[in-house]
Amino acid sequence: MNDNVLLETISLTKRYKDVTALKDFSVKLKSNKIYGLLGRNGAGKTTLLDTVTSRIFPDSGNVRIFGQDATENQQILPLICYMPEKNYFIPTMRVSDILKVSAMFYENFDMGYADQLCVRFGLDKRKKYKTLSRGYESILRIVIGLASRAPLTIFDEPVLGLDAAVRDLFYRELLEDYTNNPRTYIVSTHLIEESADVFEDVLIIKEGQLITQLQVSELKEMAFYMSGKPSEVDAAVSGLNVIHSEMVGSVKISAVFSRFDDGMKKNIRAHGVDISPIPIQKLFIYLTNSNREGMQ
Amino acid sequence: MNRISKCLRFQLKNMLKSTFWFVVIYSLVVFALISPVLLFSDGAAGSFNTSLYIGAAFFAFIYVISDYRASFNYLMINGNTRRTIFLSTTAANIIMSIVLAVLSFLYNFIDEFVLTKLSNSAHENTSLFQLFYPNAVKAMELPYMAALFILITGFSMLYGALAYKFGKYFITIFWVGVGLMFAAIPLSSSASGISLLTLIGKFLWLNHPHGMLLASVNFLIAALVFNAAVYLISSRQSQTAPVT
Repeated sequence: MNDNVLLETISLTKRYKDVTALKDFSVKLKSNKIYGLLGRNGAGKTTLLDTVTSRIFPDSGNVRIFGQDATENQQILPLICYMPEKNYFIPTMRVSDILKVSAMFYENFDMGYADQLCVRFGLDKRKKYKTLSRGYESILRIVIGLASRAPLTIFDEPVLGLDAAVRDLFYRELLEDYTNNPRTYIVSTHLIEESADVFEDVLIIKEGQLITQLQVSELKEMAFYMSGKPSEVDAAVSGLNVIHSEMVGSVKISAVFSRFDDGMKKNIRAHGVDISPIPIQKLFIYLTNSNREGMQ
Repeated sequence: MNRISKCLRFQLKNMLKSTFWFVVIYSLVVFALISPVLLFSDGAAGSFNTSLYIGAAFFAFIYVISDYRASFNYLMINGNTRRTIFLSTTAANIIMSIVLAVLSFLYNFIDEFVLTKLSNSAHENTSLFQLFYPNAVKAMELPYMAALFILITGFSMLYGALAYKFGKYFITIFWVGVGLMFAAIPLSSSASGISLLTLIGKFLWLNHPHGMLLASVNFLIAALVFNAAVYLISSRQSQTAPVT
């Protein structure tokens, strides 16, 4: 196995009654990277994260983290800080006590950094958890995740209930701490457009399967709109992976997700077809809508 | 400090804090109710017993059940395995049982002190143990109560684990079952004449010369069975949403 592989899932499958939440899901994640986990509601993101962190058990398949079987492994679980979307904190505990408990369980927890984050995010440590608003509940999870300095830190929808300014602060803090203290992050989010610049790699999951795992830069280089006369567009996209098509008046617009070089683009433009980049949020929608395969 | 110790430290802090407040509130209520009667009575003879162990039994039962879900979920998000959580919870329950037993035992002396200082009459302090175990040695009350509390907390932990796994279906069936059991007690005599109360009496070794010791052993064996069941249930338990 590649020594740089931090997390590996091998054919993970998980079913809930009639629904298969994960289907033969296999992925390898490397150390010291920020991964974005993207998918529609019900795609299987949370099931994947819960399985990887031993919150639930898969029906089949394995999870290996740091080269070991991670399931119910007390050596491995303390190295993972997973802040789920659901609230599992004890309502009567104060924020300060929750941070102290986190410091007790996460060996690398930086209480000084946690205090700084509480000040920057405006989180009152004297408050009891049950009195926090939804936004501050998210902020508490962010503070714990960032301050844990756990080698694998996972956020499931970390910016729920946060306004744009606080979300921006979170992304800046994450990048700054990642630069100074590299570790592996997995961030599951619906807010793709604003968070895409934070991620190095994205994993797109659809109906329990991994459809794409690529660097963000690669993703952007592969996703283009081609627009023009229908016949010319059809000719241009021939042989390419078309993930969306629509007519706007007499103009046909096709969204293409394929590897092609500058020479190909030049040739396509020469035939009167306009090429423009697809915003990453739109790309996500097309990929998770499309019946075609994604690419890795 | 290993993980079990860390979990235990967290659980004991909350547990002992709750136990402290239970004892304080219980004492205030009991002595506030009893003291005026003693102070203003005409000195009629009688025994006085705060029976802390009865209140403590209810407290232990309710606390362990109500704490199970919150502790299980919270310790899990802090990177602990189910095995670690089970071991620390069991250890915390045993420690709490011993603490409650010691407090209940000490309260016997507080009862005597209150009675002799406040009451005008001579008193005899009779406990439930003396009613059911005529040859009981007072010193045996402490290990008996400790074993009984360990049984109660073991049963409560099993209840908590089953409630976590099956939710309202288990809770409903359990309490309906309890109600039916109480209704069935007077009707439970079989052809052989063995009733439910007789079976309980045998389990408790009532009226046996060494009844308290033998009953304590039964309590510990039953607690072991309950805890084994909890381990089997919780070792493959998925983390579910908290009760809000």
